[in-house]
Amino acid sequence: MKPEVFFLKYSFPCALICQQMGEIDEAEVKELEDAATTSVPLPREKLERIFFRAFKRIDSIAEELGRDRWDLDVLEEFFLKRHNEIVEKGFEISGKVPRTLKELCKVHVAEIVEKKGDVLIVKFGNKTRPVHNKLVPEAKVGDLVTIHYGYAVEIVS
Amino acid sequence: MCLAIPGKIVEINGDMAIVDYGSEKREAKIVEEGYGLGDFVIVQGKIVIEKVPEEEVKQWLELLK
Repeated sequence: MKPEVFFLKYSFPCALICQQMGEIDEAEVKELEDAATTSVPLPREKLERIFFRAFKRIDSIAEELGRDRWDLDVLEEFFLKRHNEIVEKGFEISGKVPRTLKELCKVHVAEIVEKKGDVLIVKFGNKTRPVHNKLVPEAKVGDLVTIHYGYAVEIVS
Repeated sequence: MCLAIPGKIVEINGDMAIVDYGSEKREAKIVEEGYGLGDFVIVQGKIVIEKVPEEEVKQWLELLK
């Protein structure tokens, strides 16, 4: 997978936060979603501008690993290994972050327990959440997927 | 589209909820059981994905205003 596509699949669900903060508009969120669901790579400069908070973290991982910020290993390390700890510490937003927001923002591995049209009910820990299947239309009950906000991102099983 | 702040369910018709954000109301689909009138929820892509405890709502609004 191209690094731009991998990055966008994991990052676009949280674009709604950027939208809420007035950094991007509804049309841009839609453009990000369309690009993510069709695996179209967007220009790096655009992604770096919108998700500047993520890249602050990615850059420190890149430096630590001696790689480029767009190296797929660096992006995987960020989203799949370090991201949740960063969220737990309160990410780049000042002020107290509510528990529910932190949990939505984390990347979880979840099992699909039910499929209702284009919505998947997934189970992780002792709770369930409905998520869109747009990024993984082939996913079926029993599959393990990564989830971010209201989207299943990748099949991992 | 979606708003990254909690809205309050003010009406339910079948599996469709009307979610009130103060400045506007939006429709969203309830896919899971366990939601009722008065619940504060997060909607993404027109589905209700999470319930927000009432004591957290103020924190959300202060953080993302």
